[in-house]
Amino acid sequence: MEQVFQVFVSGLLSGGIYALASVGLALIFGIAGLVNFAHGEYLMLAMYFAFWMYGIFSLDPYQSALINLALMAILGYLTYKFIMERVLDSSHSIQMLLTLGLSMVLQNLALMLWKADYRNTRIAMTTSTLDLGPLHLSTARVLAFVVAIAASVALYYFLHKTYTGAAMRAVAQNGKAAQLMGINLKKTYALTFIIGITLVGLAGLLITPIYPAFPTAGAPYGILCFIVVVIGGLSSIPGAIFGGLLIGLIESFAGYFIGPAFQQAAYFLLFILVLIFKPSGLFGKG
Amino acid sequence: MLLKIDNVTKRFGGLAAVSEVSFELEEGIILGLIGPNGAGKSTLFGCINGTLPLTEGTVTFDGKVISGNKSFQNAKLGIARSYQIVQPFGNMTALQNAMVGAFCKTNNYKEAEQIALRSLETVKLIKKKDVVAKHLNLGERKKLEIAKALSTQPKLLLLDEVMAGLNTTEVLEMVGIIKSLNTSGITIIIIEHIMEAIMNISDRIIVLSFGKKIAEGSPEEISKDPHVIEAYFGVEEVEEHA
Amino acid sequence: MLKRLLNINNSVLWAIAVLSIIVPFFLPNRYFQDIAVLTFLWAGLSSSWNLYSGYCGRLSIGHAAFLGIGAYSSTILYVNYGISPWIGMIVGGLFSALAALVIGGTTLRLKGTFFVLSTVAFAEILKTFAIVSKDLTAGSLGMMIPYNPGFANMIFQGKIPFAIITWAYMMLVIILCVRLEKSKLGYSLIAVGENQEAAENLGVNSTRVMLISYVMSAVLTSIGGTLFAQYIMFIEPMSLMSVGYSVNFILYAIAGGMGTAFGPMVGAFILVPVTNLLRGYLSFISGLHGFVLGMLLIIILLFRPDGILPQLKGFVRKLMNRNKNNEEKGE
Repeated sequence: MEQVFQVFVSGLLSGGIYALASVGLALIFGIAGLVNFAHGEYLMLAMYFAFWMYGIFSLDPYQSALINLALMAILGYLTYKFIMERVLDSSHSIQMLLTLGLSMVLQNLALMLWKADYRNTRIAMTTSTLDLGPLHLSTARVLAFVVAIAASVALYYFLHKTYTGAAMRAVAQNGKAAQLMGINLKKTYALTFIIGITLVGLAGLLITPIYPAFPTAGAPYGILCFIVVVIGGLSSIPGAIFGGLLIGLIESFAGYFIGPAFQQAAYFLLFILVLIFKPSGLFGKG
Repeated sequence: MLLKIDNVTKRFGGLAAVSEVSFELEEGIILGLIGPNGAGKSTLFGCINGTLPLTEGTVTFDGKVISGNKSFQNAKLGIARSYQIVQPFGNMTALQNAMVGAFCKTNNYKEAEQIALRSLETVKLIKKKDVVAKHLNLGERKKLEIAKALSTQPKLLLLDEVMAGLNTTEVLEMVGIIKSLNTSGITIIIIEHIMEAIMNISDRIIVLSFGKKIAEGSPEEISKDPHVIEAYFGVEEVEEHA
Repeated sequence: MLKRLLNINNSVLWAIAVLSIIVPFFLPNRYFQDIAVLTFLWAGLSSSWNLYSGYCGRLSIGHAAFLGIGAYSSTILYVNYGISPWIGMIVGGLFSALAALVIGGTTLRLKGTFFVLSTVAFAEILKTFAIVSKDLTAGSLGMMIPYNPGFANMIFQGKIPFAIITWAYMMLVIILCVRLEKSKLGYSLIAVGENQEAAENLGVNSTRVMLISYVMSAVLTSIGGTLFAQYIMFIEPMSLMSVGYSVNFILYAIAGGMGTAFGPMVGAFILVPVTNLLRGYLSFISGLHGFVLGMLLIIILLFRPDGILPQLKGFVRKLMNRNKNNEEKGE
């Protein structure tokens, strides 16, 4: 029983990170309607950045977080400006292929620059544990979970309580009408993209003390985020948060009860079932 | 009877777009379907050809109950439909567009090409047969929309506002085309807002308002029917009274 | 006139396709012949992908699943039971057809990104099966095919026999695509891709049309998978059945022109040699090959979304016109 509880908590902790990475995509794909297949690659870039900041300047990922996030915001803007803005009106297929190309470029750029080696960032928190009753939890993972959930919730309030957030949702519902109301479409899209990328970057730096950085470290997250966003009902931020937690739990339990190789297959299967039986998502309306 | 619509209702959510509509259609005539915007005319087309599943009622075509069929099944039986908002296959040529329809009744490439060419000839679009559909102008696209439907060799043709947006010369040409289709033996139901045109070509007219059939009769009868006048001009009368 | 010129263009492409078989015989060594084999193979695979996704405009990025089914079916039968890969190829084709029926039956009605993601999901699930069925597939260790040359074993000493086989494979798929373009199925498929509802109104049973061509595409990909395994003589699931592999299918088709019979071939004929030479001569920079492919994909989509085939056709057309003008002047 204790072990099952440990499996549950472990799944929940990973789920928090999935949630954070996914709300970024929920913003970009679910709300702005832009397909980004390179989403995971930004997580990888943030991991590398955190790794190098620690290696060169001895700044741990939390100390370098602000510079890291600023950099991610800039990367997000550049990606939007030079790639996405040109295909705002193109079909999803075009956007998909384009960002697939981008993900190849970023992965292989990382491979060219930093080799395929696994880069571990071992800070004090990597090995320290929090003991909550019978549970032994890695401090870094608990911190990552808390920050991830806090950031996701903050995003929800940003979307629902600020003018800019309302503008984003308006553009999502009806771009033309929003434009007539005086909302600058391109600026809003740009901002959506920047925030989305910054959030997935935050997920990346939070897991740097836990997992190694390598060129394809972000690839599984890219697909996973899409799955979470679809399961969560596309444009719903709470949906993405719960979806992320759910995927974390499924992965954890499938790994424990069936076998580690089935971790991914389990949520892919769930995803197909959702597509067939409830395409509006588990947490979506209707 | 070629077509029998019996008590057909179509609801979207709680809203009835078509409500308890019944009528019969004998072979060889042109039936005009008129009514204010949002009266449910296009929805009724969808119910007849199978694009929209019915909420209630039955549609019988050529002696067979066809409500519940998919639109491709009805196309094979001989019901073709053109859309108000034209739906060309943009990256195919006019001929290829029409050939998609022609393959409805044949598997042979050469035969399909012949059928499609004849359709393009009928709608007077033969000169543009090798032009990619997205490069055609509105009038030509409207013709192509008919040519596609015609290529399925239908017994019943549902034409949805094929004259909207055309200039006077084009409207006259279109009237001629529709009459010639009818002469060749195709039964036609036509939705149209241009009153002169529809009064001119229809043998009989049905008026829909808020999803209900409010009148049926010859063009002369319809133009004098008080219900129809009210449905079309009711709002203005109210304003006058006020 | 335009039509005749287009036909002339097609005959140029036919000539390139047919005559390309001569090339491997004139290549100086095994290294270049290897590139020729891979070029034919990828041209065939990319054309197979094109048969559904190219014409219908619905992207499958899970086609590596069928590549894997083809490769594993023949390899398992050959390595574990000594059954000829030629038979294994057919068995693999049948399995792929079955898989395509199941996958297609559940996902073809999905649209856009949802369909794409579902193809990835199915490919990942199949990959997991390949990894965990250790008794059958040796799991992530991969399977080696013992070197035992002979026609029945589909293993040959030089590269030339494989060049001929892969060329024949490429030709088979291209011929099928050309025939598709002149058939009811092809017209229906393109129409469904353009506008599903409008196509159905014209009597097209879109579900059936999509399923048939998806199964065809899967079977052809699977055949390529067997050839791939027999040529490389080693298969393992992590790379063979990955999204990364699936992207190659798409890339060549897009570069040449999606939804055209010769597009994928043109794309593969240019890109496979270029990227392999890059990989060969600049192997000290690992990642360069993928980087260049990714950049190409971005550049093509941003600036030439229809691929380079229309450009080539335009170029040939200009040449023809100039010749014609000269002839007329001469007269």
